[in-house]
Amino acid sequence: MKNKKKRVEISEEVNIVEAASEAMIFAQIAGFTRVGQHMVATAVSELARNIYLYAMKGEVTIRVLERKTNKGIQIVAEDNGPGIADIGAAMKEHFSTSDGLGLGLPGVKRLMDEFRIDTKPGVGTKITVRKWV
Amino acid sequence: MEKEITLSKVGIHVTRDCLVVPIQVELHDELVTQIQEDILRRVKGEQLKGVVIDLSGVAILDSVLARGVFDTAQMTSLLGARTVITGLSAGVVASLIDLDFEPGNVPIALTLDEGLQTLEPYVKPKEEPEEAEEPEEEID
Repeated sequence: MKNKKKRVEISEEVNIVEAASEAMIFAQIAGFTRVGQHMVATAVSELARNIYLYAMKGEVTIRVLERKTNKGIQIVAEDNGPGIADIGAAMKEHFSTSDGLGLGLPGVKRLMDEFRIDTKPGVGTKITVRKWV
Repeated sequence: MEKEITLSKVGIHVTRDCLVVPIQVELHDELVTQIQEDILRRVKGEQLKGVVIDLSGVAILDSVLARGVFDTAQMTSLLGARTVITGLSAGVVASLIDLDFEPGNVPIALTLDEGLQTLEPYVKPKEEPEEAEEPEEEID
């Protein structure tokens, strides 16, 4: 498969489900089970939602990963939004600065295998997650 | 206009005195709000006692979408109706657990048909009970 990478811009609410649906297709290509595909798509939905909610604009890049033993999927969610001042707090359960709905980051971490966050207040946030088949 | 699009997409209808909401498209916030409004309006307007929200066509249910659907179920209970959520797939359920989602005490059933069955005691009987077929014996 040639087209192993897909970028989805997030600027409208409908882009959230668009990014999640793309992730589902990529997860299928990578060889995830149906349950695994749902988990990847849900994680992407949460990440895209955070961009839309907190940064208004950003992008989600999805790609299939290949290593010797198996395949996987990587999602990078990037924005130039307000950033997260206290990552420790953001990774705690039910932390929220918006409308009572959490950032969902601990959930995203549980749905995926690898989780990395780079953020700087006033500059933006980049979250990279991976899951292996 | 928008409303008609939603209704045709989702095909809300009444069966066995229950409002059946079969969702066969991917959800997004606006659609959830629209469906929520449709359900509440019809439950109130038609004095329905039972609702089945079938999510068998939904693959992606993140924390916010799930909250919207489950909140709708709880709202109907304030209107005197009981809502059962059906058709959650293994993947959706696995994801909701990882997201630490609190389902509250919304009743769940595996299939739409099972959902309708669990609502039977709450909705009005389909037909008038058979009466006066055999007149009571007169006592002299």
